[in-house]
Amino acid sequence: MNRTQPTWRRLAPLFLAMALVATLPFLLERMRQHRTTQTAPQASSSSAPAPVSIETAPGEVELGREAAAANPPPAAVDPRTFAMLVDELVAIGQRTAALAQQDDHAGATASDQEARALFAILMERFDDAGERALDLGSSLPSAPAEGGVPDDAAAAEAHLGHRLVLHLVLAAECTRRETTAAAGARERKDGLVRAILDVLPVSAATVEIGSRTLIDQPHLRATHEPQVLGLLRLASEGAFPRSVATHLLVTLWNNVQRFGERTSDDLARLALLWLGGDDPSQRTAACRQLLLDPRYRDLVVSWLRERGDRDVAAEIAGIAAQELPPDNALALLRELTPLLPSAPNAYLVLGFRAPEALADAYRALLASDVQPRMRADLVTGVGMTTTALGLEIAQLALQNDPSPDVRLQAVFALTARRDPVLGEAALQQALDDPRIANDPLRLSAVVLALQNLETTGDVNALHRIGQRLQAMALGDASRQTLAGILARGLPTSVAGVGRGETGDPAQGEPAQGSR
Amino acid sequence: MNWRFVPTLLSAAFLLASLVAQDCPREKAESRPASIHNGPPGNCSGIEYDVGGIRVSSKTVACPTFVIFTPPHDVATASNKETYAHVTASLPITMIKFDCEREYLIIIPLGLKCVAGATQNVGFVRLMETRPCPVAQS
Repeated sequence: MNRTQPTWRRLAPLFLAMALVATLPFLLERMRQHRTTQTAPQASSSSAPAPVSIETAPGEVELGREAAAANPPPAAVDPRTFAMLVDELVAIGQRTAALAQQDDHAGATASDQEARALFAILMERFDDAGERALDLGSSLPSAPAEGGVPDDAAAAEAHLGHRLVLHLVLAAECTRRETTAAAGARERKDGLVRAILDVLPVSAATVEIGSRTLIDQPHLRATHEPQVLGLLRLASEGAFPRSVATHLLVTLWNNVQRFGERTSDDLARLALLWLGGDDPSQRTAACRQLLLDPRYRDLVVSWLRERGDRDVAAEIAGIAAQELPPDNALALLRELTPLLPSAPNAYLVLGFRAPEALADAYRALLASDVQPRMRADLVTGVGMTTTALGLEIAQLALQNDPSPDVRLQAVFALTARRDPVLGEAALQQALDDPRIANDPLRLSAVVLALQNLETTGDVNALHRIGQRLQAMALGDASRQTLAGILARGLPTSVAGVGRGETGDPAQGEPAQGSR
Repeated sequence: MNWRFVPTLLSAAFLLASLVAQDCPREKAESRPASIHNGPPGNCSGIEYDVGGIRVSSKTVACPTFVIFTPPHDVATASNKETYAHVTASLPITMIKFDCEREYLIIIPLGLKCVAGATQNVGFVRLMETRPCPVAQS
């Protein structure tokens, strides 16, 4: 049977000719380069003579040096790829860490200088270092803890090293492009940030690298808002870390206001809109924005009270403690007391920021004997600092506060100072108070404070307090906890001596695990 | 039905209700999940350096001043029933303070670890269960 030739057979010669024409310039160029390479050493040897000391009169031309300047030797091409340079930086970082851990300061410093020099080379060679870092970061295997690379110390350190270096590259690249962005050409900078936001959800490594680069940094702008909102949606679906999404949104709002892309009134209007929404990140960002504006602070408090959501209130209390001026934060916490009767976390943060403000607030409330729960939190906040002021307030509370629960908080603060004399005195004083000694619930708190005394290693103090507690009306769970403390802290022959009467059977406390 | 006993029954019911309502706080136990809160960032939290003419701020080692762990617990909340929140146990709120192991101003801060100090109890929370209010005994 005869067949006509297929179309591809008839057109094949034409395709071959076209391919040859297309590659001919490339081939000719390669041939020219090859000839140049072969003849270059001869040329340079004839035009760049060996250095010779020549005495010449001023103004006389030095032919050898001029010829060398006109025909410089070809620069050595660094064959290392971007990935190789990153690997090398990681290796230097590991060496620096090892030297630092051996307290070889000079060696660690020298190694660190080597890393800085290599980092500068990397940034100079690659003007798209940021994009390359993103590409490499998104292809990193999972961390050892996630079942990726083998779970050993060396692999974990190498993985961490890569994340650190890639973050440094991204941070440096963003800063470098900020210079040109400041001159009005933002596209390259904004484009890099968009690329970072795109790869953020890819893996835990990209979340870490990208979020460190963007959060609390000036790189996010109004143009990135759609992507940030997209990450919020992913967080709502459980596909992206909620805390990272919230911090990115807060950073975005800070930046758009700081750089004049939106006014505070614009953001306040948006915040008011988002306040009643369902997205937790939007709600947190909205609350924070409104809290920072004195005009809307009362509105936030009213909204929180109306909503009655303790979790949101606790989150807002934390934000206030971290970011508001201390007096404003204290006032807000006081306003939230009906909804949030106890907020030790917020007071602990505020205590580290402004212990004097908490001390003044405690003295004022003590003088008027009001708000015992807030007094307890204030004692926690300032008492847990290692300052002399913290010690003063804790002792003042233990000796003078009319509320036994405030005195118990003072006991925690004093026993946590790891001073056995101070700790034992505080515990003894608390047990002298019949409102504490006769209340199994308050005695259970004393047992928990005794765990702080246990860490001082003072066996005698532990024994004295333990004996006294054993003779009191402890609940079953507290008695078990106390037995565990004494068994750990005391010699075996002493721990089991002098068990007191059993506690009130009506309490029925379940067993508590030891610490 | 003998209607003469109705006022007696009503009085008894009213008395019973008032006896229960008098001391009953009308609360219930509501559970709260565990939580972890970080304190302000500490010394390891980052460095600024110049490399190749670029000034970069690095926040690569986040070392909080302290971390507070609150275990799962219960709180008493308002209820429209004749119940109260009965405390069954106390659990500690623990704080762990952190320090930077070494302070090296190095560009790749491997080995700069946050070292945990001793764990301390800073307060307590309660475990509770909801129980019906007992009728007051005469």
